[in-house]
Amino acid sequence: MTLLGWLFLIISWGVIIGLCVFCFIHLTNPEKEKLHSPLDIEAEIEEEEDSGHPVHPKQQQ
Amino acid sequence: MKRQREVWATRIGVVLAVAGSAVGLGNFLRFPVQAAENGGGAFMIPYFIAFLLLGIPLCWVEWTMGRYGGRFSHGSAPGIFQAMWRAPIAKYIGAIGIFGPLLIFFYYTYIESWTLGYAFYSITGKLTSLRSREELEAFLRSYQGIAEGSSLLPAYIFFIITFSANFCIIYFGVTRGIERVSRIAMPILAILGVLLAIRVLTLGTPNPEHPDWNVNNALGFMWNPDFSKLKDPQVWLAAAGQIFFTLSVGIGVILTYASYLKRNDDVALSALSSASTNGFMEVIIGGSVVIVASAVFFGNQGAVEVAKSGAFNLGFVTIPLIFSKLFAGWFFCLAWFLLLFFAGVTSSISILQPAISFLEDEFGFSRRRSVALLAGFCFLMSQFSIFGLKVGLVDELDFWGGTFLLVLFGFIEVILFGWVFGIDRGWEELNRGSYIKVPPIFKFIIRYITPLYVGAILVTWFYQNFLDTLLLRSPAYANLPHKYIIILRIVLITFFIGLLVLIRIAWQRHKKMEYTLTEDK
Repeated sequence: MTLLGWLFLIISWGVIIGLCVFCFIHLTNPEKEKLHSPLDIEAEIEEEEDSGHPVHPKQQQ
Repeated sequence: MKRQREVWATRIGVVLAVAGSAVGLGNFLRFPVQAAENGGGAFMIPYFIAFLLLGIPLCWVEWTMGRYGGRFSHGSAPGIFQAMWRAPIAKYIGAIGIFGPLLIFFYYTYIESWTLGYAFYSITGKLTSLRSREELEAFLRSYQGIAEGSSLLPAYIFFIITFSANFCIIYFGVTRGIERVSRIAMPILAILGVLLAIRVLTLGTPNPEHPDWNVNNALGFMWNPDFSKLKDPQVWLAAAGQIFFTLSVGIGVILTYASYLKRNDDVALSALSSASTNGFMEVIIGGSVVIVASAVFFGNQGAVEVAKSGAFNLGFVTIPLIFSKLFAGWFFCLAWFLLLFFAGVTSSISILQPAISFLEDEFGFSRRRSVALLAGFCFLMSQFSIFGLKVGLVDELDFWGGTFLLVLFGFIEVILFGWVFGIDRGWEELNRGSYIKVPPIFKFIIRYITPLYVGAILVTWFYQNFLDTLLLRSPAYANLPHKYIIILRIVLITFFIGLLVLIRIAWQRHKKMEYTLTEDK
């Protein structure tokens, strides 16, 4: 195997393993704060569920 | 009155279930062949670009759409599409999200059952007693019932076992069935994969007569980059196609799985986690077993021939042949076929779920009734694959269900999300409850780049394959009797029309129920 071959193997494996580690650390760490508060769009959901259908933003106005 | 739907018990559970759906036979058989044939290490450049611009955005789109639909008690594409787009046609377009996965199920379970059969023959020693390629090829033909005078009985028995196992898991539901099986099967899958990869990577130079047939050169065959291949558009298309198939996007499965999330559950990180788990199984395990082992035992030229012989030959002939030459070969054969079996089961149960969800959510059927109805129908339709393998019916189902509809449905989804539902609303939904901050550039990618990318694949395939396949002009049909393919197509069209009728009935029923409830009030 050439040096470039090794380089491609190491980078590819590194990217995949790095991504897996990043994801599973964040997934298994319940301490993380949610970035988006569900309350931001709570009102819209309730309106949608009352009608049984999603409400288009234009209709809300 | 809204029916109480199940929800996933754990975050890891849903991630493993989606990853299990994505990790299939293609990870171990299709990816290494694609990489070796399309530039080795250089293939990883278009592969990762497609992963970023196509795979990840489509995963996010499907997870977000599914969770959104689940809020309205819809777990299959017709209901989810209707929730996102109020035009009456939306639910009918969503029919593809039930039709496509079932088409795949009709042949996938049969092939999955071969891996169980071969695992059995590994234990009995039958497989390792076959010492030459010719013997193994003859055994495969005999098992498939293609060889003259051979019996389909053993294959049929293993099919019934596999088929029953799939429906048993589905019967236990999302949490007690799918989630539990995924939480057990995925770690086993990873352990078996790592075990096999370590064994292959420590083969050294097994044949002293060919000192250049060694692991180092075999890895070179797989990974040395050939940059000239990057000028070939087919290589970029192959990488995009691989990403599409491997991540289970465009099938409708992720939509259904995500519909069982709670309204504030994370989707951004979960989607990324399942995609990266699939990447681990594909690039690291898949890229270290079949092609590397073939190059160690048959040299680089031999590995080229092996790669060209097709996935079935690779998985069911070459690998048993290689492992039979090793100490405790039966054990490695068993590990290989169990790896494929577990990968198959976690995928096949997922492709049943959209139809189950449709029957439960839209018709209010009980789990038992839904499973019984679907099992009966799938059993009948699977006979086309079992008895029609010789006449090309498996390839026919694979083209429509596993290739064309996948890309078409993915294209519809991304347009619906970015343009009809609206990228701003979609973006807000994606980030809702998210455990990671999705880079804002993806808003642009989802709206413009991904639709163009999927559209380009669709147009190219349409131009290259669709018409020839539709009109039976493709070279693959040259030696096949066309009448069986035409019969299958008529049956499939009838099934699709039937599905449209069912959707109509379901929505008429919804209207009636809404009316009754209003009257009661």
